[in-house]
Amino acid sequence: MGIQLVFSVLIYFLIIVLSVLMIKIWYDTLFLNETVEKRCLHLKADIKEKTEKHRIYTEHLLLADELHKSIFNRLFQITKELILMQKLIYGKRF
Amino acid sequence: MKKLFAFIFLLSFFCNQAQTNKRLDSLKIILKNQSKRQQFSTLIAISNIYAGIDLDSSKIYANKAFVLSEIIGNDSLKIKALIFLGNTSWERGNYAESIENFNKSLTISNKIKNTETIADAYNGLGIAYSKLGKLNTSISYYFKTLKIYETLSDSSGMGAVYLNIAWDYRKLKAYQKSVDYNNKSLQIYSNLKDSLHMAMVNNNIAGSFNELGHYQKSLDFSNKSKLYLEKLKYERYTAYPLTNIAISNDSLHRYVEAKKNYLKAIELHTLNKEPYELAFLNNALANLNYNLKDYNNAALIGKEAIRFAEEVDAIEFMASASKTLAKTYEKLNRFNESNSYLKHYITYNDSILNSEKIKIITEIETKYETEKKEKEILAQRANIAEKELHINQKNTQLIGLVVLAIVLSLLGYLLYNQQKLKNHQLKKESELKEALIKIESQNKLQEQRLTISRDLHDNIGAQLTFIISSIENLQYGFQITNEKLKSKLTGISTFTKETIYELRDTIWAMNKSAISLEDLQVRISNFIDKANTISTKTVFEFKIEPSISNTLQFTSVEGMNIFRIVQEAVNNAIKYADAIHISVSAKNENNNIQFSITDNGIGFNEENSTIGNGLNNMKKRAHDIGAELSIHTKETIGTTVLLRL
Repeated sequence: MGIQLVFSVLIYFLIIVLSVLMIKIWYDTLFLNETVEKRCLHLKADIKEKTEKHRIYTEHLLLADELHKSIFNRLFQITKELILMQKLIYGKRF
Repeated sequence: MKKLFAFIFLLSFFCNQAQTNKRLDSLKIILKNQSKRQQFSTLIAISNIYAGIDLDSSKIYANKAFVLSEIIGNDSLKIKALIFLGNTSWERGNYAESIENFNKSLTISNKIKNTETIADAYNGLGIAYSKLGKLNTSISYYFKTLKIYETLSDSSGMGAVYLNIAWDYRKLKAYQKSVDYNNKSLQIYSNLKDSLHMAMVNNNIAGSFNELGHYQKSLDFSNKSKLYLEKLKYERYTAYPLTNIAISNDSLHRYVEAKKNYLKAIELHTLNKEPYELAFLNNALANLNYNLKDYNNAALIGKEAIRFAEEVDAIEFMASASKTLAKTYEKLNRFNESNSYLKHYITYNDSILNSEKIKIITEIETKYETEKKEKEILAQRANIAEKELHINQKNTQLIGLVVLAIVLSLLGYLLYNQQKLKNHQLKKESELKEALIKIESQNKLQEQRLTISRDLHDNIGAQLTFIISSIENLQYGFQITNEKLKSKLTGISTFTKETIYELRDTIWAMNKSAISLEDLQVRISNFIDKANTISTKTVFEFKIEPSISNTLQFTSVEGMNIFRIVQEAVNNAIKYADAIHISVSAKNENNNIQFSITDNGIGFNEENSTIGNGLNNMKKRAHDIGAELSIHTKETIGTTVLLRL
């Protein structure tokens, strides 16, 4: 009878301890979830900001590329004109 | 007591003899030509009639009905026949057979769940056990019956059960309880206006009151009973209330009145041929005469009492009548006869005492057996309780183990879930971090490229300024007279200036992360002002509708492309269209922004003209920013360039 009683008490004690542990794990999981979620949100916001910056940079580079093309064309044109002008000056003189 | 008990059952089966025989004959005749079901009903009816006159015949017909019900195979008919057999059995004094029949009826009734017949069977069992003197059992059956009748709201049945319970309590000498139950029965029968049962109940109450010593009350109830019976013309059966009236008066020392009632009761019982009742009444009357000192009559009547008592072997009346006769003969100085009756009295009394002793011993034995059984029951109960405790403990442990297993499973699941979540979140986080690093590195690279571009722009700007300055120095320093050379230098200078403007415009766009409408407006206005100074004959107009939101913003590419398209359109209008009036406007149309550049120049034929680089560039720029560009022109009228964003 005594052993039976001790066994019963032990079982129920284990149930209580494990239940407490279970609640703790559950709470920890919730807390962990919340913390990681916050960190992820922060990271996402960072990524969004950097992506926007990246977009602006890309646009600026696009403009720069376009400008470079145009400027090189123009410089080529100016050089051509200057050479023609040089030909005109020196052609007349010699 | 016994006489009243017998009265109840006899009265219920009473009917007129002559009419009965006639009816029996007719029923037996029609029996031959009937279907089986009709035959069953007729057999039951015959059994019912015989119950009042010949119990053996009643049993035979009830048995026939039962056999027929088995042939038909109908449970309800079987129950009916068994109940009849049960009733016939106890009336014949065969209580074991009666119990067996009622139990069979109860089994079938339970099988077909017929509450009415269950109640009938319980009631029958109650009567049988009551007859056997097992009053506790009989009362428990009566209460079961009562419960069912209450559920079925069967008042008549309830009244009958109350009456039976009252009888059992009376047998147990619990007279007050008997009166209480009789009163309940009386109330029901009064409501039902059932005079016959009211007569019976009133007489029963009177009997109980006599036992309790309330003689006056007893007289009242006996008189009521007598009155009901007289009204019903059951005068022969008024013998029972008359007996009670006589006993009450005798006890109240109203001997004359008592004698009158005893005599009337004796007369009626003589007609009914009931020796037991006559033995009792004659003995009581003999005692009354003795009390009235009429010893001769007392002796005669006492002898009558002995004769009737011997007829039914009623020792208690033989003893009491012998005692009365002994006393009477002593008073008549007939000592030999007195002595003889005294000896008889002693013999009968010894016999009664022996019977009583045997009864007491039996009772003691029964009590001992009962106690022994009770002890055994207690021991068994203790054993059962211990086993139950043990089972409970095992159950508790089992429940505990099951709960423990559930808790452990849940714990495992939670741990697994937590780990899974951790992994998932770490993966997610690392992915995000990786993406961030990738973007950051790309941004750094782009930043470096932009820095290089800016340095390049500064250098180119400086170089271009140097070219312009050199050309201007050439023009003014050397005083060039050659017109062709002069024009060439001016052309190169202008082209270089335009290049610088383009460079500045792009740097303007590159220095902004977003271009607001206001910025664009300022830039276009500046350009128009500049154009105005170059082409003085042309009138410029620039307007933006107030319906366009000031918060509107363009990306740098969009802003730059819009500006370039406007610039190209205005330049085309100045250069090729020879326009006098150029209008630039921006308005909101169907939630889209529309820029329009309109001139009143020479226009061109869309079908005949080939599209030049300028127009192609405009279309390409519009396409790059997802806008729609359309040109509407008519020769000599002018051209409109529409840019829809």
